Amino acid sequence: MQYRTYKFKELDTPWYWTFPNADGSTGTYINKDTLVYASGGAVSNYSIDQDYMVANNSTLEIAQETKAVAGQIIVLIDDSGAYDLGVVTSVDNENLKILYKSMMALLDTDILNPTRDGLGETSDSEDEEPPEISAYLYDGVDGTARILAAYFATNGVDKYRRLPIFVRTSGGGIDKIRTERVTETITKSAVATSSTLTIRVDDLEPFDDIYVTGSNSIGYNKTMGWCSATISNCTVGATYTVIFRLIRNVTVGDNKPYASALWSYKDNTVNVREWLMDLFDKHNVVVQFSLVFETTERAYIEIYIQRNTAPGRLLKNNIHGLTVKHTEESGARATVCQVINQETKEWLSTWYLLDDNTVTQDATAENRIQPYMLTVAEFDTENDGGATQKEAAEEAMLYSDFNHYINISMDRTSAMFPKNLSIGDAVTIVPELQEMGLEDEINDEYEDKIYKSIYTGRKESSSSSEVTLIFGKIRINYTDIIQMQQAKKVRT
Amino acid sequence: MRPTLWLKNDDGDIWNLRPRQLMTEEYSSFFATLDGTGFETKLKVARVKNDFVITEETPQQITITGTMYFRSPVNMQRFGEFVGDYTKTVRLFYDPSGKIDPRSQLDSPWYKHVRVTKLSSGEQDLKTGFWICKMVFTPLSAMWRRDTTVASSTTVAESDAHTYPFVYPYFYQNDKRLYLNILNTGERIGCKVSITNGSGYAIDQIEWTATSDNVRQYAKWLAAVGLPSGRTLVVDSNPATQKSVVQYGNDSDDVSDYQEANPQYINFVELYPGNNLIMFNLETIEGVTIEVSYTEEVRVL
Repeated sequence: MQYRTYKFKELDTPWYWTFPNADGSTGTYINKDTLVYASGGAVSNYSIDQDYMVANNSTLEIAQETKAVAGQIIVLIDDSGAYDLGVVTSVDNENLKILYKSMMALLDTDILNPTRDGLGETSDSEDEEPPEISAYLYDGVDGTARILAAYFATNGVDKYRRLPIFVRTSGGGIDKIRTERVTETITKSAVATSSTLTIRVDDLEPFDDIYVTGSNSIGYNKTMGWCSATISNCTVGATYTVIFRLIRNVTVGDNKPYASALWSYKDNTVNVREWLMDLFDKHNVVVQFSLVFETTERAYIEIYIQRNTAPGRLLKNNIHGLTVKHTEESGARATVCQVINQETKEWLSTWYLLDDNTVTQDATAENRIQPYMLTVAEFDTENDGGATQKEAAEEAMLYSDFNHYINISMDRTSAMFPKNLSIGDAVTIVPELQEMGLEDEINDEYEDKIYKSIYTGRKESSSSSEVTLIFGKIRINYTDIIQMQQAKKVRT
Repeated sequence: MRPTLWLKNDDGDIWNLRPRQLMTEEYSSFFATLDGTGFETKLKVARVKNDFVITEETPQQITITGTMYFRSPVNMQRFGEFVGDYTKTVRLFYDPSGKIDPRSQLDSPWYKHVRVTKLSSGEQDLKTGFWICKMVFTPLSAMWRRDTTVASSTTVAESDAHTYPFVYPYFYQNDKRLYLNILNTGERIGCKVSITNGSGYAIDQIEWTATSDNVRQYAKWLAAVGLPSGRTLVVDSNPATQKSVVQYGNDSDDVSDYQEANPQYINFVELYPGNNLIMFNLETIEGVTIEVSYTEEVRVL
């Protein structure tokens, strides 16, 4: 194993890249720096603690003194390429050790609140803050990309804060109001009692159009909700089948982002890392990092923002030597939310959390969650993004769907080790197999026997081939818990 | 008959440790005073009144030791080249009956994966003229192993049921399904299933079951694997080599994400002691070749 560290160097010629603005126009961003080699060498021992939820240090024991310094980007390299990535936090040349944290440490910096009054005018000046790029209700994916790009890769960014980045996203955008055609298929069979057979379906929801196969005469009424098909030249006693395809034009979308998030920060400054952690906690929006070295002198940090909840990877406990440990945590942070006016502090509405992780204003609802835990959400009544009081209550009360800790240990040399698994990837975990006998039948309903989770951490060291993969948003290690509680205090 | 012993490296080269005519082969030497080919287990017991109840039984790693007689230093040097660097593992074959020729393609001899962990470099013995070295093999398994591979051959129309002679292991087919009977005389072991699609079109349905006594194991790969014609699905349930890949040419894709998630499907079926009936349920069996290989294990030969 070897390591390389990289520092930033100003380019002779900056290069530009684009990302769509919220209004559909094109935003242009600038990279004035590149990444250049700073130091490198052999690694004698390593201990990696890569965790999205907590900023733990990973440790490298190196063979010779290094010129690496804190703040540089570090890459751990094995035979197959980049093995780990992070930001150097400490260098100890006396004991030949380098400590580094995950790339999120790069964003552990304060920025001017993007919704702060007074911002909003585009400027090319070198000494002004970037324009307003966030509204009260914003796109948790593309909006986040715009904020990062504006605060780290625009013309006016301070030279000691700017980063050579390129941002791309997945799962963002606006859920525009549109019409979609939905097809309902009804198959009906009947036995012919004469040479003509009529098959009729009643009590249908109103439909817009109809296609029928297996008939030569069709009768229907869209608004009265019935349709029939007549088949001629039938053989008495034979069974005939007709397929009705009912077409409905359905209006979908709400002109809001697919990943709607409410901007609740009111201080003048916002810590980027804390904001991104909160975004992950509430909306599963995850930020992934990689380094890109082009054949020219351009090199940059690619930031990939995605809202990943569809399980793409499968980890099943049918791998030799694999162990699964699981801890669940009650997700509810609050069960009652009083929404107040952000400006006047006037009470607006009260919302209650239900056991299906939705909210209601009905205080007598039978499936309300107990005990009474109050939270208050401030609501911008004059927001122009269409945000509602209900959304403010949901933002404050709904609990995350990955509120668990799953620890999977396995041998990294096994061909079954999930290679290319990136922090933030959604996974399906099957913790236990069911032994089957001759009498047992396959049951397709097994959702309660698997976990839908998200990959959030990895621990490993050179002294053992066993790797611990961590899934979910809570931690059980005491120091990790303290660190997360402290971060939440800062956020609130 | 004297037991025969030989080594085989990753390249398939053979080093005969017991040549029939002493030192007539360039890549041979004589390995004498053989010891450690048996087994040893360590028991943990709990005493219950006057009885000892076994709570844990752990096989021990018994080194295989002996003395090597090299004809010349060149012979010794070639042995070093044959074994390779210290990270290389070789297979030590052992036939107590001494009937199997190391180069036989027909016999299925027993072996252990071993590392050569000691080869003392001695001086020439003045009486015999040999270079005499103490040698230690450290085995990487407690059991002696033997590989068996059986492949289906569907040359008749799938509508015609046919069977092969009932000598284990054997394939037979019926109703577009292929059946494989394996008699496992040893412990519960892993196996490698290879399904090569030569049907001319992709196979979407890939399922099999393995039944032994009252246990039935299910395996299913999702249609997303879409095994195209000319490709091979390999599912290996052996602990050291476990994998599920689709091979094409010299490349392969990991398809473990496309296994059935239902916990009732083990997907990596194993062979239980006794008779095992594996039923392959694919869309077709015409043009499909199935190969199953497994490794029998015994404690002592």
